[in-house]
Amino acid sequence: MTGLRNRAMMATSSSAALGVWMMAAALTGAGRSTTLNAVRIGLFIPCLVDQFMPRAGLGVARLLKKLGHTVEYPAEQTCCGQPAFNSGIHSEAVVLAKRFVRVFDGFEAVVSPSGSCVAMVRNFYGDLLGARPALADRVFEFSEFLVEKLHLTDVGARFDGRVTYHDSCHLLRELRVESQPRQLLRAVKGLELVELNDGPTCCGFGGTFSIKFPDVSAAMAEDKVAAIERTGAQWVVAGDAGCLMQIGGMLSRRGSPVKTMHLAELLGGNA
Amino acid sequence: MMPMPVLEEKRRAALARALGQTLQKRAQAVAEMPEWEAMRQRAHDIRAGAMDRLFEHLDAFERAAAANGIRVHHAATAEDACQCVIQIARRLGVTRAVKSKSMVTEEIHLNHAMEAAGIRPIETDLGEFIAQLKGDPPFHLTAPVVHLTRDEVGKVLAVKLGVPFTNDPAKLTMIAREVLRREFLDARLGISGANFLVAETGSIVLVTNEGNGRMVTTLPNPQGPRVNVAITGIEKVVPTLRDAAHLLRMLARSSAGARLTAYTTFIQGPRARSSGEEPSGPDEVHVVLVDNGRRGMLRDARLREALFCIRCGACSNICPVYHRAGGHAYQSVYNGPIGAVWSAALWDTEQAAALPFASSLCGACADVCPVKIDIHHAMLWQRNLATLRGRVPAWQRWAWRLWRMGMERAALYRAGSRLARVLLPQVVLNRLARPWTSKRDLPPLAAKTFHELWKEEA
Ligand code: SF4
Repeated sequence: MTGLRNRAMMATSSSAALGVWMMAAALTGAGRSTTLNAVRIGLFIPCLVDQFMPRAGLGVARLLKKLGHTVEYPAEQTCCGQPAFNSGIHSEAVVLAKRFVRVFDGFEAVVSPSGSCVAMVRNFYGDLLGARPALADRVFEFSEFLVEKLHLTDVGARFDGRVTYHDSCHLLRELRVESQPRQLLRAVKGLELVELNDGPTCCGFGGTFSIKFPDVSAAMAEDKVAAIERTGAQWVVAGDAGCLMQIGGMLSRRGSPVKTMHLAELLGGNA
Repeated sequence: MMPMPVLEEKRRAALARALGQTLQKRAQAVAEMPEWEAMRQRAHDIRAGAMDRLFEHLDAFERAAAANGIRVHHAATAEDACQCVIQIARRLGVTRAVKSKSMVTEEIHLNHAMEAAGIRPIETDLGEFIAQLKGDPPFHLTAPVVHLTRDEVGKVLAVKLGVPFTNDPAKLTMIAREVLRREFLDARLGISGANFLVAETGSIVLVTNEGNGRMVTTLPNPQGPRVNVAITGIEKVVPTLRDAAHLLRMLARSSAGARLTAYTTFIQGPRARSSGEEPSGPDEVHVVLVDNGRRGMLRDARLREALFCIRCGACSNICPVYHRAGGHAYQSVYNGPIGAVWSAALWDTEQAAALPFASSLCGACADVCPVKIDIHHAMLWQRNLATLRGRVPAWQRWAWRLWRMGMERAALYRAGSRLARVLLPQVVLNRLARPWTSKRDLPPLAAKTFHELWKEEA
């Protein structure tokens, strides 16, 4: 752990920072046309993925490694601070945001199987910390990273079944990631992708909203589940663990045969 | 935290149908305009420019309006605004006034104040007319009784007006029309809102779907002087006629999916005798500019955008929370996503402060908003304001502090997750997470965390 901290600190020292900055410029700006080889990637595994669907994290790690990148998991990471931020407790969120930047600042790219947590860093850290950290431009959601930065849609995965994709609100409206997961899913052998055609509407998770307003939240989940069932899909896939817990929890309560799976697990779980 | 119940199944389905139809029409009206995104940006910029120099524009409006013979009043509070109208009514010696739909008059509870002063306000917008008979606050920004079925409307009219029951919309409209026509012909005081105030020309712009706005502001009664009062928020001013024209297009498409609202009225002042034609229109036109907390919103950079709102109602139409809970669940005259923001900004009450929490922050509202207000981000900021103002209970703040202290120490977090797996079997977890598990199942914790799996893989 100490080694890691040292590395992170070194990376922020001036010469290393220049390298990081150049890498970031390549990744974010003109990066579109650049083919990235062997990037040193920091894995950002949010709490819900860590606790409830760790195989999504493994999916990301295995796939990126298979593609020849160096993948590191800084063991010091915990939470990006989003739950406190969304609950209006900025004073606590800010501590974790600063910590997050410290832990991940040394990486050329940070990749996470969560639209929600990436949106927190990219879209809200600036407001929370008073200045947008440079790191915010180097944090990517997994499917976005594959398609936009690595220019990859076929990851060589195989999955037999009829699948529908649920747009998580943070991926869709905060990060504007809409086509990328679909492109990746369409390229999976054996997989039939059916559209959900329900808006796209929120599943009703909303973090603490699901606990503070359980009736409204559950009513939203019920409608979501009904829309999923109408597609005839056997699986519902999404890029955020929160949505999958909400949808999965309602599917299971209703005794539905439809199962949930995280996008990253589907794409990389068996890589 | 305020409770927010879900509407009963039948009403919920009917509401979803009604709102869905409006949204569908909006989608078609938007699809007609390939440059819609640029139009939204322009609307946003117009409103931003208007708010950046609000008081200059208000001064300009006041000068131009005064030159046209319009009298402008300033009301710092709801109370001031109500008193201003009541005084005009008293001077005129009337005991009744016809009203067209106006959210600002709802905000200041003008009807209550007028009734208390012995002046009967008569709502002439069909929806508001029904809501007034029923004694209900508005359910929606633009459609006050969108939640009622034809049968329910029929019952309200039958009971309150003593007419035979019918649920035929055409007949119901005729009943209301008959009642309202008499009121229009009799009235000498007409009260309206204003959709926009134009600074360069001093015009009051008013749109209605039924033409009642025009009736309320023209007042044909030949017996004695007739007076028109437009009550509106200070934020409604726009610099130029061109700006107003652009916003009218955005409003019509966003609210009803129309190219232009059926009746658009530009009020330029009281009747003029100079033209040689038969003079028409009211003898006096007044504008009451209501602040009632808007200056506070203007000062807060993160709430200022909310003042851009043109009250189209599209954000409510798309909001998944509004769809399930309905307008009355917000317990505020302003409901739906932007209503939550406005309520919490204008009223320092526990209930209003809770409204920005009643959102999953999905952001669908911001995407349909014709003036591009970041509605859900304003709510996020207001959640922090609630904390800063001491509206979040101490135990919750402590819980967050403990949570943060745990998350600051990775070793503690990891030890905690190991411990949870040993000490908290699913039944205990289910019990602890009761608000969640009352409605859905809690997925089990994974046998091993990612952290542990990662170590095994290495
Ligand atoms: S916030 Fe935007 S969408 Fe909502 S009513 Fe106002 S203008 Fe319309």
